[in-house]
Amino acid sequence: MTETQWRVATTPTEEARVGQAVLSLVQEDAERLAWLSAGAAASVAEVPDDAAAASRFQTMLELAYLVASADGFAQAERVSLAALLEQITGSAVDHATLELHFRDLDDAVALLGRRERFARAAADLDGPKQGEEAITLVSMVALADGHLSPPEYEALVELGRYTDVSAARVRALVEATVQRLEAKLR
Amino acid sequence: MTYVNHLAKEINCKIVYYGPGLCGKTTNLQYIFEASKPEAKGKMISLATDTERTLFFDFLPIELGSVRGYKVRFHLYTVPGQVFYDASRKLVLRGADGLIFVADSQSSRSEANSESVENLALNLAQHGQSLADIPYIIQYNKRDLPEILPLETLRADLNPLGVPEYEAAAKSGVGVFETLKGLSRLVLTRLATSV
Repeated sequence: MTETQWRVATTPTEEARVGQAVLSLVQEDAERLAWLSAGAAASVAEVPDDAAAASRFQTMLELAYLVASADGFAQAERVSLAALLEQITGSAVDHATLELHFRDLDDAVALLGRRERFARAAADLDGPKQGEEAITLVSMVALADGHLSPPEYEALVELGRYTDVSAARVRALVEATVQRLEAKLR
Repeated sequence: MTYVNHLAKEINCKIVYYGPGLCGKTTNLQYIFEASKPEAKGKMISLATDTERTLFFDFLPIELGSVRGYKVRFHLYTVPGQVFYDASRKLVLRGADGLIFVADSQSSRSEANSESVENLALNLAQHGQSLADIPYIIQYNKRDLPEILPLETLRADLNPLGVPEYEAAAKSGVGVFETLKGLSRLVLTRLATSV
C-alpha cells in the first residue's frame, strides 16, 4: 500500500488544467462550497459571527496542510495551494493570508508535533461522515498538483484512522476523486 | 517557542508535565480537562505506539484575557514516567514554553523523583536548554497520603534552583489549578516581554 500513487495529469496540458479541474469539482457540491465560504469569511472577520464555521474551515485548512506537506512542502506548492484555496473560498481569504497561515502551521508542527497536530485536527471532525468529507476534500486539494504521492496517501489513511474511516474506504474515496478529476481533464 | 496562529488570532503555548511514573501527571491533566468549559477546550487525545505515548489537550483559559488582541491557548502535554518511554519524554520537551515537574511526595518514591528530575535536565540539554532558561515550577503531589516526606526534604532534593513550588493532592484537585496558574504567570510574563 505504501507504494500507491495516483497521477491524474499525464501531459503538460493536463497538468496546467488540473487546478481548474479541482476547483470545478469542489464547486459542484453546493453544500460544501457554502460551509467553506462561510468558514473562510468567519475566519478573517474582525469578530467572527460564526465561530463554529471558522473552526471547521481552519480544521480543514490544517488537514489539507498536513496531507500536502507529508512529502515536503516546497514554496511553489505553498503558493499554488494558497491560490487554489483562495479561489475555492471565493477570495474570502486571500492567498497571502493563506501562505502566512501555512508558516504558522509549520511552527505548530515544530512545536507540538506532526502526529499530535494530525490527531488534534481530526478530533474536531464529528465522526465518520465528516471524516469522509474531509478525506474527499483534502484528497482533491492534494491532487491539485497532478498526483498523490505515497506519503500523502498514507496521511489520508491516517486521517481515516482518527475518524473511524477504514483504509479500504479511504482508498475508495481517493479512487472516486481521481476518476472524477480524470473525467474533467479528458 | 510560542507559536502564533494569525488566522485564529491565538498565541499558543506548550506546557509539559514531567515526573516519575505514577506521580500524578495524568491526574493533573484530567482534572484540568474536566474542570474546563467545554466551549473553551479541545478533546483529550492519547497517542500511543509500542514505544511512545503522549497525552494532551488544549484550552483557552478565558480568565487570562488576551495579549495585544490575541487569545492565549495552552497546550498541556504529558508522557509516561516509565524508563521505557524516554524517547517520548525527549520529544515532548521540544518547543516547551513551560515545565511543571510533578514530584511524588511519598518517601518510597524519593529516588524515582531524583532520577526523573535528572532525566528532565538531561533531556532538556539535548534540546540546548536548561531548567534555568525556561519557566519551570515544581508540584509536590500526594500531600494527602501517609508516609510522605517533609517539604524541606523534597525541596533540598529537588529544587536547588529555588523555583516556585506548590503542594497538591491532584486526585481531589487540591493544588492543581494553583500549580497551573503559577506556571501560567511565568509563561505570560515571558511572553509579554517577547511580543
